[in-house]
Amino acid sequence: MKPVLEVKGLTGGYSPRRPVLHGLTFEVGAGEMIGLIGLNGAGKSTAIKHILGLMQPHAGEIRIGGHTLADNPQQYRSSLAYVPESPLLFDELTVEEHLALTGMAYQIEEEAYERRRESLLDEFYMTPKRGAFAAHLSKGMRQKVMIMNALLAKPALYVIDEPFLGLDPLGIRSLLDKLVEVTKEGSSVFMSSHILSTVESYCSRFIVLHQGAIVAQGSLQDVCEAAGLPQGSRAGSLEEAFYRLVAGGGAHGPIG
Amino acid sequence: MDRSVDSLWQARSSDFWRRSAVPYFRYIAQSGLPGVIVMLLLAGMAGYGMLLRNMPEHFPITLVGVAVLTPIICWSPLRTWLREADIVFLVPREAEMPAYLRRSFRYNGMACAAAVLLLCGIYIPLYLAANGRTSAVLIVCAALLLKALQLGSAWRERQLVHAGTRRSMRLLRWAATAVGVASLLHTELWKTAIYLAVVIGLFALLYKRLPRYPIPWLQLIEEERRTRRRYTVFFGAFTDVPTEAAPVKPRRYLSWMASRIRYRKEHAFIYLYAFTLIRTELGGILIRLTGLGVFTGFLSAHSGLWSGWGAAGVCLLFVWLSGIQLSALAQAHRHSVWRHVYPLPEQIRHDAVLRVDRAAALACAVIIWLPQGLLLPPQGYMVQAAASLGLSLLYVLIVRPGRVRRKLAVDPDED
Repeated sequence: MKPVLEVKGLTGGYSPRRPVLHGLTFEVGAGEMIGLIGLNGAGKSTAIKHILGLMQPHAGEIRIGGHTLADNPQQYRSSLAYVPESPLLFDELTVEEHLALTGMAYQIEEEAYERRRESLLDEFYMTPKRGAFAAHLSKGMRQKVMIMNALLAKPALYVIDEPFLGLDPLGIRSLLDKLVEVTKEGSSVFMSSHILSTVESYCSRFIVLHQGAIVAQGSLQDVCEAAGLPQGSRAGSLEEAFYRLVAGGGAHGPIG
Repeated sequence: MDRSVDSLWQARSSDFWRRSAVPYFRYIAQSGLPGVIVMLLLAGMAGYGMLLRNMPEHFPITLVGVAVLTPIICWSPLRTWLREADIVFLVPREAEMPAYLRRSFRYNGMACAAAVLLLCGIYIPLYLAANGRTSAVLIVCAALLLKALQLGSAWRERQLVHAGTRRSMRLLRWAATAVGVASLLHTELWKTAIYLAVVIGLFALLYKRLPRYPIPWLQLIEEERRTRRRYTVFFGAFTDVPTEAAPVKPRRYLSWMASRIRYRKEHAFIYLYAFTLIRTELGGILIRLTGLGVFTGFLSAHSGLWSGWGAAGVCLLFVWLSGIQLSALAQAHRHSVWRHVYPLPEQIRHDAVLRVDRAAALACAVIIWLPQGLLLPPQGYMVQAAASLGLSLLYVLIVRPGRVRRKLAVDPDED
């Protein structure tokens, strides 16, 4: 089966002379939830920008649903929805109008749009705020609007950058429940987060990025092995493996 | 390094003019606006001279005086250059702030006094020609005194804790000032003096009783943000200006139109741009400009300025000015990430900007032309009315779309 997202030898960054990402290669299969983890400045957001097509790779290739952005931009873009790290809302639109805009942009049938809109507003406890402008929402609520818009589009791939920032416990729970639900329906989630315990409980595979290179990827066991943690030990948590991978020199030094 | 709040104010003020205003003057000069303003001034002076020589017997001089002088006396802006970050960095120095704010009062006070003197200079000759009873010197002194009171009163308003009270007090202040100006121009001085003394006493009592902040930080930051935004939108009509978050107003009396846009993929950006136009400062400027166009058009068409050709010129001028302002719409959302993320071709966005722009330009043009259409034909100036409509439509439907298309073709994100 074809992977939903294929990244091969991705090297990129803002300047060709100083690449931030060094030869990233990974895949995201249908129905998978993948956690991208790394320290601040490891290149997570840059990798996401390349996947979104906001930045052009210096080398390598990115395919979503088998298409590159250049060969089929419409197909590529309609296969993914994005939740940015800081909410990027249009100040002049209300919560409901944002949903309408996404519905139109992703060509969701009007009837389905109305149904999904009501259920999302309800699930994220945003029904009383449906007519509110972005400026009148708290940061957490703005993040909820971003998430609701992504979920409304129901794409094959969700690219989510730090989704839990500013969300209240109920919001985090609703989001995780929804993400599990969409993966069961066959969509994939590519999520970057610093909350390792949550990533560990919900993601099936992990990509550890350090100084722009992948230092480990795979299941929890694969990552623990890469970090040199003994199998079956109590220390075999994602957090411990991550600490060993990035604090011990990462991509540029031996681990464990 | 001098770290006094006084030097901070100075640095911020010169920084604003040096970086955020002066660099754009060149683009304004290139747009041809100064030429139009000079023409408008010349035309205005000619009309003013004519009115001065042939002052109609029942000219409503007091009413005109209230309409001209009240806004300039009451409107008391305050540039404080304060920003969000000052909540962290300047609030701890609140005790030093009176020195900082004094500079703002001086800065705006001088500009406001100059504006009052200018409008008095325009109005008083008309007042004397219409045999007004109060002496010119007295009007000037009273106007300046009122202005000083307004500056203080507007500051007290800013300090008020509740937004509702702030609005009510402002309304009350404008109404009381309008009555004061009318009284100054129309009745004996002692009556005006008594009225003003009573009103000042009442206002002082009210301000004393209402809860207020020593320094209304949030209010001042918001006011400064709005002012900066206005400059940005204005300069944005002439060139690409780095934008800040736009303040939005719901404007339900117009936004219902955008809500009725049909739910279709092709309409996604039309939906967005229609709301952008209606709810942002751009919409506000356009509404005010159209209103001013209708008002000026009404006056010039009513008096059949220069056998109707003057009126037609005024109409064209405002249609052109509204078009210039409207072209800032093409700049909106240029740097938005969603422009790249949404599965919509760039062409759909371009078409949407063009359609919203054309619809809005057409609506403004027709509204601005209405006084000409209604008032010129009965005076026998049919050709002038038709010409102003024809040329307005030519500009809106043929000339503008090409310009907007060229503006859109310059993509800042592609390098």
